[in-house]
Amino acid sequence: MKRIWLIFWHEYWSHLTRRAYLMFTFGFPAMLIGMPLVGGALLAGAIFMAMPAPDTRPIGIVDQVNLLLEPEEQVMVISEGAIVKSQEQAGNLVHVIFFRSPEEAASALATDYIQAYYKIPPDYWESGDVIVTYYTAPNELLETMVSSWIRREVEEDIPREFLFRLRFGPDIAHTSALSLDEEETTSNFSMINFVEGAIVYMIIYFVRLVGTSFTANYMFDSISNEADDRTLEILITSISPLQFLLGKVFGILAVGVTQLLTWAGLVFIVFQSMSLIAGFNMVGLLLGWPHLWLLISMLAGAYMMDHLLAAAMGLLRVSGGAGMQLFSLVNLASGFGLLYATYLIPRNPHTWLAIGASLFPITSPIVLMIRVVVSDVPQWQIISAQVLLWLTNIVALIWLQRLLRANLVANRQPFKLGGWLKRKFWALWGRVPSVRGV
Amino acid sequence: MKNFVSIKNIRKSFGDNVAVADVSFEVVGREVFGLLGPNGAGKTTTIRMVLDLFKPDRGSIAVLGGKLTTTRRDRIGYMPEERGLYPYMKVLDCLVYMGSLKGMARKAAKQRAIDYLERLELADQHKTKIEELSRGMTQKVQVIAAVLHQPDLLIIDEPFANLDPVNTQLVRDIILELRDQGKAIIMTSHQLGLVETLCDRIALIDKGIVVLEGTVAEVRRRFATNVIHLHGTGTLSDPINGVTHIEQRTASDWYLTVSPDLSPQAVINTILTDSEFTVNRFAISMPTLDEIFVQVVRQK
Repeated sequence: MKRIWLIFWHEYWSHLTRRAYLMFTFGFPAMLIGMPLVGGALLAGAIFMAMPAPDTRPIGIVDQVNLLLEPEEQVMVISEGAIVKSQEQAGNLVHVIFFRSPEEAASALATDYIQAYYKIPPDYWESGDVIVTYYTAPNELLETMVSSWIRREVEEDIPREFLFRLRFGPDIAHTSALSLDEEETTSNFSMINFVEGAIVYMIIYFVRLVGTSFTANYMFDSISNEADDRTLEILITSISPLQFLLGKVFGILAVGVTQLLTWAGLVFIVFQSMSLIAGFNMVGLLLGWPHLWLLISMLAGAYMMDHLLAAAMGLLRVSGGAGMQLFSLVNLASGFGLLYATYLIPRNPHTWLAIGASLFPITSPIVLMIRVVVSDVPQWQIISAQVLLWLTNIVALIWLQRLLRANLVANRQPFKLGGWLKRKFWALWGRVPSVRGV
Repeated sequence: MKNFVSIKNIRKSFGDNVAVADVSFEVVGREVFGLLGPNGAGKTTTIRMVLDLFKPDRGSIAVLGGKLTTTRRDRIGYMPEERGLYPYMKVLDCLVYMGSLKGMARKAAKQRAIDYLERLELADQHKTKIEELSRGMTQKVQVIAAVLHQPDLLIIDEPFANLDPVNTQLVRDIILELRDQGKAIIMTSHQLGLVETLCDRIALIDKGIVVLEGTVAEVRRRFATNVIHLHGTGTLSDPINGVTHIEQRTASDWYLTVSPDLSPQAVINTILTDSEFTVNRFAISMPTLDEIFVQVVRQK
């Protein structure tokens, strides 16, 4: 156990203190947050520079359908022109003045008291037109703000359920005519599922595709370098291949977990800030999620599987980028799983393909997790998926030990995929050793 | 004396290539055992089987009294021909890590590593990264990594490659010190001059078979020719009874090939009595290990 710990700590610390790792761990979120900020600032600056000098005069609104102003508020409008509704309703740019009639507004415009007035005509609900009158056109930003204000007010009058349907379309509930139990075959996709799904999707994306590919590269480089420079040969005279592999896999796994925790810390801050603003506790939702442990188990299993695969590529010393190309094939399969899970699973969570992809170790961490978000997945499928995933890891670990011994001292030769597949296939059955030289 | 390594009729092939056909030898404590042979003879494969990196297809290997367990692994030091140390690690950190993997306490490993670094004149390099060291220095660090835990069995492949005479002597002293402590050392080397002075016994492997084994003196005697080396002054009467060929190499060095049916002692007697030659020194001319090596390999 102590030897495993020594290998673990060596791998963990030596990778953690690498410049490239630190740059990516802190640079990636900084880039994610910083780039939109910098881009937005540059864009805002460009718009600001292109805009004409701000006109600080108020704008007028003649609301003839009482969309922005309730009828009783109209009473408060003062006779010679207007009241100041509020500053924030038109941003901080200008004051908004409500007029009872287009004539009053035209009079205010003629005396330069306002820069323009917007008329929401009585037929607005039929035509959707809002008419703006001016001497000099108001700037575009002002118009955008008036437009979004009107849209918000319109949406407020629509029940949220209707609004959700308008935005996301219908939920198509599938009921198999062969099944008597309707509950089991119906998707229960909802708003809460949608938020859960988005969180799960983001976690899977970062852990499975971004985080894994980065640290799996470490695994590949580390093992192939040690095999090349014979360090591995010396290490294996001190420890068993299993001790070596366990220490290495968990050490690099810890590197990835540290990276993810760093990112998770930043996401936590962002989510908490959003919670305060939106009144929606995303962190609480995630921590209270009944499938959280399943998510952790599946992601840990997937992470380990990816690293064992990268270790195998490193041991085979599939050099010249071919190793990572082979690794990318598996990642690509995961990517397809992600696409499938995103677009098709929510509508059809119980097809044979969905069940198969939930059990197949390469796709199960993604497909199963999306399925449990959008539907009730039978318990046997959840258990089987985990058993298969972890069993694959155990078998891979045993196979890797053999591979490690067989490839420990193999001479480097140019990689040929055909020859390699043939050799490995037979080596699996112990027919032809995979060592190419002594 | 107790066998530290006992190899019996091992065979190892890789596909159609038979790397080791039939190798047997034993190594005891308090001896330096030289495993010699041309490139591709099967020396390294044999060593790797001793270290349990490969399993032999046939035959048996006992190391330190039995099969290689974790405890026995800790009593072995190994330095492969192609050097293996983490290039990005600092010298001292790397040595402490290697020592820890052999079961040493961190503190003890550090102290002993410092002692060895001082002894091999590398003390001021302890914070240098391995990749920044010269080849000779890396070689010395590699030697320290192999002996740091004071192994009972040390296996070193080409320990003197890349070393200048001064450093060769330093490494040689470490090997002999281990031997004097009762440990067993198996080494391979193509520098047969060094093997001759360092090894107690040797085995010559060619094409996966042990073709020669014994103490260095025995092997040399076995290949001794009927040539007498005379050092002296005067003239030798020619012919000399029982001498088939006389060769004068310098003014005072003569090499006489003696007929197989006569002993060298009889010829010396004849010279001392019959010739006008003053013998200052004489010796039965022995072949060097280099000459034996070439002869055996060519014969095969």
